Amino acid sequence: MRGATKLANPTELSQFLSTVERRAYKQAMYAMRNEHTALDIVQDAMIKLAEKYGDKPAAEFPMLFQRILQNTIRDYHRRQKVRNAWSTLFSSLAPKNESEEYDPLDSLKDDENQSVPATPEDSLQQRQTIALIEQALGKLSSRQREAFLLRYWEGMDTAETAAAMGCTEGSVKVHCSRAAHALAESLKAKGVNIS
Amino acid sequence: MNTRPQNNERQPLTMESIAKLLTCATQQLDTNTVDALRRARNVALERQLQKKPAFALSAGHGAHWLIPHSTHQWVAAIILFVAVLFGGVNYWQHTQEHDMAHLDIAILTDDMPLEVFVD
Repeated sequence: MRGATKLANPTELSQFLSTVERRAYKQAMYAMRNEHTALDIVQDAMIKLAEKYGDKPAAEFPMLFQRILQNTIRDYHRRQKVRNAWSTLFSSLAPKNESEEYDPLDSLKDDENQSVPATPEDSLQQRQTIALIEQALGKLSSRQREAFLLRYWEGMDTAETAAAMGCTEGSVKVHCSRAAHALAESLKAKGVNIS
Repeated sequence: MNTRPQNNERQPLTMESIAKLLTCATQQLDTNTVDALRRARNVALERQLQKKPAFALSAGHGAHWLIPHSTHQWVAAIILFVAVLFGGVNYWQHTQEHDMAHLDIAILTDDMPLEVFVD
């Protein structure tokens, strides 16, 4: 059985990583909301995949990488929680960061601007919608966001999502359902409906 | 995907359109981030190359299943080796004894071959 599987070469690994790196970065960003941490997470996940599973068949890379990525995000999240617990004793950094966060409602004020050409307007509206979705994703719990992104964005089925998250399929269904509901509520409040 | 409303009202989103928009967002990353991701990828690929043994035999994969992977497999392999060794030694001793017995019988029965007495 092992002999029948085709083992990956460095070129295949490179191609795979180049196709997933941006999505992985976005996933890490939604979870951590920090560019540097997100980059660190993606690099760690890539290195782990290359070092430990670089000689596995290329078909196994997506699942392996998602597992590694989700575990790495969870590890960083735990560490960040501990750090935050200590840092809040000395400073109030968290509220300051929130005030600096980009608020998509600021850019929504330009909706009525008719002087903007049609194509840039499309582009602007798309960016605004993306910003609203990303903001809504940021409000989900980490497990709900993880389940939602793996299931609906990465296109995994329930069993694969459960394997990547290290939980049961039932838990995945519950997380996905709650995530979709919370997302719909959050977007509806901003004037975007989910059908 | 066009999410632009006809009369300044947003069209309802579906899960598919949300997924498409999230994918669009990955194309809007700034150059610094894209460069950093490329560097991260190169570091990972270098680590993979460093980990590969320089003199690995191409036939190694074919015989891979023969090599024990766990402690249990190693113990079983050692027991098997000792059993085969013990059996081999016993067989050799038995053969030696058998030859000696033949010689003894030949001496006792005065049935030694002629070449034994020829020097």
